[in-house]
Amino acid sequence: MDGEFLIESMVHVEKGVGGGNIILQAATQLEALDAARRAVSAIEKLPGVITPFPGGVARSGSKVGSRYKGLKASTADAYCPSLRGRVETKLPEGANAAYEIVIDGVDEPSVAAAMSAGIRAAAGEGVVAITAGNYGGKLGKFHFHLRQLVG
Amino acid sequence: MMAIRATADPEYRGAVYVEINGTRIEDTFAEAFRMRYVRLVVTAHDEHWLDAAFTTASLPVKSGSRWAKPSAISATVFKRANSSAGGDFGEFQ
Repeated sequence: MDGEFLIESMVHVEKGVGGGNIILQAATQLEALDAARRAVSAIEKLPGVITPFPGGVARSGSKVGSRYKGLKASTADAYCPSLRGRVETKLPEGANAAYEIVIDGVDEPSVAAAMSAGIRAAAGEGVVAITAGNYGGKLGKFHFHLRQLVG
Repeated sequence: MMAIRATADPEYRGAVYVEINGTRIEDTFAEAFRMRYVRLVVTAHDEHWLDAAFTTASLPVKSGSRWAKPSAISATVFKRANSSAGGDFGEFQ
């Protein structure tokens, strides 16, 4: 009603790679968040990738499955420090906070480069360990081995 | 300076312990999936309407038989550096 509105007649959809990730585990929440910020800052400089969560950081990463029939995913409780002792934890000793950085990219090399940059930027004082989320290798076509990425 | 160290892992016989700057890199992998994406460039009269467009784009949209949500807005945004010059765009962020 107010005048011209211009839009392309067609946009192209491309195939990409979604769900690359690293999980940063630190001694304190602040150290984990600092590490996450360093990782996101390093990743956002790279072409062909995005970190889709707000600020690039997932503070409540998810796992496949839940206790409810209709809910296919739920919080990755193994990385929740406050649930230690109530569920089987995956947090290493000394880690009391974890953040996940999820990475989507235009292709496999772009996601690999972003994961590598994120790991290298995040590693440092207070960061006990860096791991990644997977489903046993049976669901996703792309596997990014952390030690190959930093080797 | 980055220090990458690989030694025998005391917890896992025969495995290699890798650490960067004192941070242990676990011997595991991230599992990722095929996805489809589209890149859109949005232009607007000013930042207010650009923000409005971004907010709208963040709402769930119907994709085939499923609801999909744009995962991120991650683009270099430009604004007219000198509006009177016309066509002279400078980097906004």
